Amino acid sequence: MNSAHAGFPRGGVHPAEGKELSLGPEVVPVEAPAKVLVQVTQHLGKPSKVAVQKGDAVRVGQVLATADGPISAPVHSPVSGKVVKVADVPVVGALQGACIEIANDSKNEGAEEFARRPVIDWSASGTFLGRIRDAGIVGMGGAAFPTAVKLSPPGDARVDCLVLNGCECEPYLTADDTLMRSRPQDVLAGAVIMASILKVGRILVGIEENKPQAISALTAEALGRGYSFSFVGEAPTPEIVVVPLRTRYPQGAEKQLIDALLKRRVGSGKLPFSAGVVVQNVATAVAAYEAVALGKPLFERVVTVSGGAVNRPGNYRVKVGTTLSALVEAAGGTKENLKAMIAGGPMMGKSLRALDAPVTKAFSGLLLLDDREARSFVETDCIRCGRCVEACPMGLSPCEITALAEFSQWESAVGCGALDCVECGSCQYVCPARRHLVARIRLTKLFWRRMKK
Amino acid sequence: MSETRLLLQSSPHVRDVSSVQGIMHTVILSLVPALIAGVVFFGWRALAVTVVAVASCLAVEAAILRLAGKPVKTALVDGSAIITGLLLAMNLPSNLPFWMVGVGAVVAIGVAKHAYGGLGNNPFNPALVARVFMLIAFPGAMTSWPVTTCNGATDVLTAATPLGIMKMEGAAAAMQAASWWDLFIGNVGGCLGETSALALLLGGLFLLWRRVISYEIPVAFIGTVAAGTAVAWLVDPTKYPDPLWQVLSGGVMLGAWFMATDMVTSPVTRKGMLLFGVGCGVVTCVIRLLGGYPEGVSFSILVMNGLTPLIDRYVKPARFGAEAAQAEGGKA
Repeated sequence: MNSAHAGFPRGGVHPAEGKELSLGPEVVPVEAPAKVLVQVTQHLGKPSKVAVQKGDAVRVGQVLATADGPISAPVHSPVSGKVVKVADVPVVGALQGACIEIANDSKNEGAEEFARRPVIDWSASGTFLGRIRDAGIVGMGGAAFPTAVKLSPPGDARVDCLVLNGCECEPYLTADDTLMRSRPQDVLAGAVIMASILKVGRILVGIEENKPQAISALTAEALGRGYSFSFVGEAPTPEIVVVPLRTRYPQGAEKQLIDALLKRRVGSGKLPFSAGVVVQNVATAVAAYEAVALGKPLFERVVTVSGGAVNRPGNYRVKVGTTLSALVEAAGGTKENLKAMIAGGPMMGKSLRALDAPVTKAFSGLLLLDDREARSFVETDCIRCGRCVEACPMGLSPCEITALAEFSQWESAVGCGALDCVECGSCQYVCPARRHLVARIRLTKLFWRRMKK
Repeated sequence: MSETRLLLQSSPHVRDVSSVQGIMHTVILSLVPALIAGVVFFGWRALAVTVVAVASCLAVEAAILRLAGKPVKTALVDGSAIITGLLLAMNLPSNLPFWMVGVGAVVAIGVAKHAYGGLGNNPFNPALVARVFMLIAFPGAMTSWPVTTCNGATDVLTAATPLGIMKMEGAAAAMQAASWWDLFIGNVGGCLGETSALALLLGGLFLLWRRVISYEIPVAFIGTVAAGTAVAWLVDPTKYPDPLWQVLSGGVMLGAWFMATDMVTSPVTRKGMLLFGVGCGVVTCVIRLLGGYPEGVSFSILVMNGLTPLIDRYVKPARFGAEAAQAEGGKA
């Protein structure tokens, strides 16, 4: 808890990190299965429009669905083969979602295009934003907001800093850490591209201090400018500072990260733009680099597969559209003592009932927890210990909000700041009465939005 | 891999090890030094009163849970009824008839706790409600204090407490009856668990170390009592003893470390706790220095228990980004 490094001002928790499980030497590539299910809409915003039909032959990187309007994103084929059908199937975070099923011919036709030598031609820097938009890049940290939108601040915003989020504060997950260790040049090249689009001269990379190798790798590249190996033409030279941060969950939450790095507070209901900042995840930066240097759309990503109930925990490079069952198979299958399956980290991830859903662009990890890691608890009455108040990074009183929610006092609960809740789960993590605080706050938001309609 | 045995729940999926039961057991442990001191100074009768108090609290708890159709076992092992029993005993004279102790348990668990919905829902500290009830119901028995066995007397003899002497005879007599040292170790008349400042301090520091309580309430409470009694002492030292003597005497230590810090009946925010502690201190001083009773700790905590919902309503944690939102609003 005591650290010389900067952190956010209040609240937070430090759960057992569990990162050693999956932190291997390298990223293991996973071959796409015979059948891939590419979710049509993988972002936050207006749903994408399907652009292929049953029977169409597709190549790697071909557009399967196009963006519908400015706050939307296209989706590309991760494999070559034939479109089998477009149908609703189970997806992560919803009961059903439209997916394009492709029969993979395993020929990888079109993939060679993205294997050429990377070149970032700065004389064409005006096209970078368009390339990122066309590549279908969305926030890969989990929010899945279209990256091109985040890189186009509203006219009145005065953005002076790009923040690269390498915190990966969720326990178990090591995909970003692995990416920073193995591809520090690409991370920073992507950051420089995004900084140039934003016209800012400063890039801050925030990394929790429990990732010393990632910190040193990025620091070395920032100092030695090794990231510019693929640059052609007159490249900008932004100031890049790698900042080790206190290891405390949720350090990677946007507002907490901005506070730790810049001592700026993003107000309630405001976006980072209001504080002159744009935050991008490190994996998103790599995707931006690949889009600009190789013209490669976002159709694969690094996913952590971890937990006590998986045989080969580690980080896997998988094609978007790979079913979770195929991913688990690549990770050696599950053990007998499997107790819970979670999409994402243990603090904010979603429980999975089955593994038929496909990997999406924002899918950061799959946890297969054993019966010691995943436990169910019986909720008892609140004893008003105040630990949730202490743990809340947003300065809320979760016990009060949920007490109101229990009596359907949605308006009062919102008055207590329910809408500020980022659902990080810190309150529920510390609650000795094991109360379902986050679920009740989610309900509050849901009912409030319905009332407003 | 059968799907049925998989755990499906909303996030977060991992939890800290702390539990209500763990908290309660820590509090029980922290009361052991005070119990030992009680036995040392008031003899085995102190232990007997404690055992009767705890046993009757558990019995009342079990009976009510059964009547209410709630799970008896889980609620019994949470330890809260044991704590109420222990704290009730700590607030009683060691020579109290056992049946009165039983009546106290019924009031504490039955009226003050379960009539409001059980653990977590009671607005007032159950042990203190029982104590004040007994003070009114059995005024004689509740204010006849056995002399400590260390003074060579048996527990048949009774004498006034140091604070009682202060009220009746002034500062000099009170300070002669009980020195700082007597008060510190607990060699004075009083409730069986309240006299030894040393034992209570040990338990309190243990709770602080285990993070079951935070420093705000005890420090604010004790600090306010010290400040208030210091003023009185400076104004009239013949009538009022010095603040250190005041802080070590009566129920301040027990109240500040164990009764006022009860999570259920005190505010949830740090700032609220400070306010709560100061309020307890002020009411204690007013009763001790100006009121008719020699001691006001129990009343002060109950008064502040009553104000806790109000404190929680108006003393909120600082919302993240509130100042930024305000600045923004100011500009617009």
